[in-house]
Order: sequence, then structure tokens, then C-alpha cells
Amino acid sequence: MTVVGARIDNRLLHGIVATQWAPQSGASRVMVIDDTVAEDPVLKESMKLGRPSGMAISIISKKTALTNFKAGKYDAQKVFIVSKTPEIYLQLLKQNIQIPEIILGGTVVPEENTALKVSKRAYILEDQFDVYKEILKTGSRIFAKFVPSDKDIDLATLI
Amino acid sequence: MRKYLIATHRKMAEGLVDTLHFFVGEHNIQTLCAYVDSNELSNETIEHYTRLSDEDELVIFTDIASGSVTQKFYPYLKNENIYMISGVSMPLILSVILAENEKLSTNLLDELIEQAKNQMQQLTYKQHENKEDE
Repeated sequence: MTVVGARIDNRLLHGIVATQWAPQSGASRVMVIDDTVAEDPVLKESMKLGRPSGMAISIISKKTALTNFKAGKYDAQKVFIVSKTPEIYLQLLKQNIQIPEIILGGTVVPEENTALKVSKRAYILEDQFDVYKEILKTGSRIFAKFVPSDKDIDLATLI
Repeated sequence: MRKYLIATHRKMAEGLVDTLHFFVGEHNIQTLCAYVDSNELSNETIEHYTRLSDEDELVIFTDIASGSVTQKFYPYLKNENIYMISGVSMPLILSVILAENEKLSTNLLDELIEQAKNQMQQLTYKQHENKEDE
């Protein structure tokens, strides 16, 4: 199993991810998939402060992630992925990358009143419903959870 | 002017300043308590705190090195008048503030960090007992 952890988080690799989620997953590599950060050298350098000790770090675009996974670059590794949005996970699943569980950690508080609040810290936008549903259809499970000790909120029961 | 900012996740910064005032009286220290009202820490907020005149120096204290608060301020260290120390503690802030008359530099801050580290110690019962006591 290459992907040992996956998280959706608007702050990407921040303290709680770096000190709790990534280390607890047993990952050897923490991977931020985000086009904006990957293409901005300053943001990229700043985010590297979040590298958990002993772990390799990748801060890459969606395109690079899909290419690298397809090429089997991480096959011998254990990867913990963070992304702001769910789309990349669906794309990876379609490439037959196994992701048994995705954690919906945090999102920005949306202005749209059509968004669904799933936890104190996470919302699903109207146009994301289908993506989440498709992910669930592949057999992956999605739980809303900010810190590991939070109770699981199973998305399958909400959407 | 030397300025200080304590920037933390949530309200630790305010608590530290409250305790600090108890020790050294009123001091001009700014605080940033991130993620209290919002899930985001905006660039405008960061720019507000890092806006300096040419004579100003700023020492930023943050809670954890890997955290988003530290990450957000990191790019501003390109400004040579801005310094940042993570792992803030009361002994650390006290050391830095009490060195207010010394010329600020990365070397000075390294020394002050060492002093503050020595204040972090495990205390065991009777460890300090000396034969000559009493």
C-alpha cells in the first residue's frame, strides 16, 4: 500500500498534520499536492518548515503527482498526502492507486449557503458533492476529523 | 524601535503577554491569536504585523516551527530587520526583552535561546540537597 494517509485541508501541511497525522500514519514521505504552492518558490520553502522529522517531502502539482504515481515512483514508499480539495483523490483512484481512507480535516468557511457543514471545521461545496460521492463509490471511506482524537464523522451517512 | 510580536495558534499569545506583564510590567508587545474567528490566516494580517519603518526591528515569537503561523511569517525573514524564533516560552521572551539594550542580531538571539533552553529542566525531589545545608 503506497498511500497510507490522505487528508483534505485548506492549510495543507500545518502543525497538526506535521506533528500528529503524518507521523501516526507511518508514512516515509509527506506529499502536498497543490498547484499554487508547488509553483511558488517562497510558499514552497515556507511549507517545508512543516516537514516531519525523518520524512521525505514532496510539494508538487496535480499533474506531477498523477505522472509520478503512474510511473510507479512511490511504489516502494509510504506516502501521506494533503490537498485542499478532493478532486486529486478521485483522479488517483481512477489511476488505480488505492486510498482506503480519506480524512476531511478542514476547509475555508464558504460564503455559499448551499454548502454542507459536515463538522465544526469542514464544509462541502455544492459542486463537490459529486466528487465526494464518486470517491465513496470506489469503496474508499471518508471521515471528517480535525485532530486524530475527534470522533469519526462518516461522510457516507451525510451525502 | 524594537518591536515584538507573539504569534500563536489560538490564545497562547495573549496568555503569554498577560503573564509577561506580571513579571516586567507593561511592555509593547503585539499578539496574533490565529484561528480564533476563522480557519484562515490571511496575507493581509501577516502584512499588517510585518509593516516596519526603516528604523524598526521586529522579533517574532511563534509556537511551533512546523506550524502554519510560522510558515506564513517565514517569507518576511528576507527583511534583515525581522527575526523569528519558534518554540516560544516565558523564559525565552524574558531573555529577549531583558536584552533590549543590546544590538539585535541572529547571534544574540542564538545566545538568548541557549539561556532560555537552560530554564527547561526536569525537577526531581531533593535533587538540590547539599550536605552543607542547614
